[in-house]
Formats: sequence, structure tokens, C-alpha cells
Amino acid sequence: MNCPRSEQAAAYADGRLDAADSARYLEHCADCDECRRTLAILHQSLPESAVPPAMEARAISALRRSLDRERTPRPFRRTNLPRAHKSPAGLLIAAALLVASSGSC
Amino acid sequence: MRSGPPYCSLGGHGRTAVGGPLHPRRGGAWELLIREFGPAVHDAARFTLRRVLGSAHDEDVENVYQGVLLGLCDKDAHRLKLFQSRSSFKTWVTSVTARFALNYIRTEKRKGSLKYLALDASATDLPDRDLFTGEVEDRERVHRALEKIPPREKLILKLFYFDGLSYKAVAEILRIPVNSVSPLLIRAKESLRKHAEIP
Repeated sequence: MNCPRSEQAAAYADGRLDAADSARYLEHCADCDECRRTLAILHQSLPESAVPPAMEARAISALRRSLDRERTPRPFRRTNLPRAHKSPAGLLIAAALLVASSGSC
Repeated sequence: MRSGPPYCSLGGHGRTAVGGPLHPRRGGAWELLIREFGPAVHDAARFTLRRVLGSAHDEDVENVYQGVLLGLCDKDAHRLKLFQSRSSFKTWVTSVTARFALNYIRTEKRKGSLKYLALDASATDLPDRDLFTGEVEDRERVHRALEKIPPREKLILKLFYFDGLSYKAVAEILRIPVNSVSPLLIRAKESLRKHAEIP
């Protein structure tokens, strides 16, 4: 999944690239092993087979776990607080800033 | 007219945002996608592994199958959003799977246990595939010469010799008549011999 031309292989295989883009893509395939092999695989007729139900079920649960992980907000932790709340020096600076800002009003 | 089911329109520009509709608790669109396109991922994974390695172990097929499907939804469906409807969704998924499988094989190959075979099993009967199997020195010279010949000649040689494709498969990829493949190969080999200075 590293080559930026990933979708071009599919577009070429489906005959959706124009002549100029096709020529450019084939030229790229002469040097890019990944694209050339993908192209070769896309032009073979793939034998169809059913996905084993257990494999599909494992993929669905893995997907759910992954999505849940991504969507669960990170717990709030004190360590995320600004340092001013944790050290006396920080408190002094915060207090000084407060005084300065109230004095300027 | 766009091909594929509605959630195929999730990728690309100016289309529906991925967030809501694809959350598994809100309609199970991801499950639907797995059920509809999972077989294409599975077939491409099995085919690529079998053709490149000679066999496809269930564990490897599942690693690729699951890796591709998780990769599509990972990072807020970042990968899926790259799909721009320039091909059918099924062809795109097949292409993504083939690439993933090739990378997977390369990673496994680094561990030292796998070997590459010809992509096209029907091509093994064809004669004259010995251009790259000579002495090590000759082979290195040939590989260096490959970098000097025109891209089209380089591609046809690689498809035929490296990937082991048949004349028919090479013709389909290059969109040329089958009977043009042999003369093109002969010309490409001559060009290569000239650059490699092999008599």
C-alpha cells in the first residue's frame, strides 16, 4: 500500500485511463515492481471462493474493536494539566499574571 | 452513474462524510462492506499468495484479508477516502489487496522462509525462459542493461521473464494482439543483449 499510484492499477485494469495516462502508467510499471505485479494479478481471472464464516466473524469483531478504540475519548488525566497547577513556581506566575491583568483593566 | 453500493461513495472528493454512517453501532455499514466486498479481498489474497508462493496457507490468507479490511477503516477510514471512483470499487479493493499481499509476502520473505514463483502457472510450459538464469556475472550485467532499454521493452521482458506471464496475459496487459508479443519480445531481447554486450 505504499505506491501513490495504487488506484491507477485499478483504473487501468478497468480501461478507465486515457491513452496518455495509460502510457505513463505502463512506463511507471516498467520500473515499479509492486505496480507491475499488481497489474499482472488484476489481469488474471480470480477463482471465487466463499469466505469461511469464522474468518469473517473474526474480521468483524476486530473491526469493531478497532473502531471502538478510535472513537473512545482518552481519559482526562491530571498530567495533562498545565504545569502551573502543579508547582509552587507555576502558581506564583499564574497569580502574578492574574494581578497584572486585573491591574490593566 | 456511480458503480457499487451507496457506501462506496464514501471515498473521494465531495462525498458523504465517513464518520456517522460507518459506525458499527449505527447501521453496521462496515459489516455490510465486509460481507459484500470481503469475498473479493479473500479471493485476491488467496490468489496472490498462491500464485506468488505456490500455496496459500489459511493463516496467511486471513492475515492479508483482515489486514486489508482493518486498513480500510483505520484512522477514520483514511484509506477508504482515497478511493476516487476511477475504477469499480471491486477492482480497487482487489488492487489494494494484491499490493497488501505482495508487501506481506516481501515481509515474510525477509524472514527467509518463502520463495517466489511465476505469477501465471500456465506460462511455465513456454520455452526460452533462460535469459536471466545464466552465470551470476551475466545476470548482473543483464539487470544493469535492463535499466538502459526503453520502458516498453523493459516492461514486456519483466512481465514475461520475471512474472512468468503467458503471451496471452502479456497481450491483455499491454492491449496488443497476441501475435505481436513474440516479435516484441525478440526485439526487446536483442536490445537487451546489445546493452549487456552478451553475444
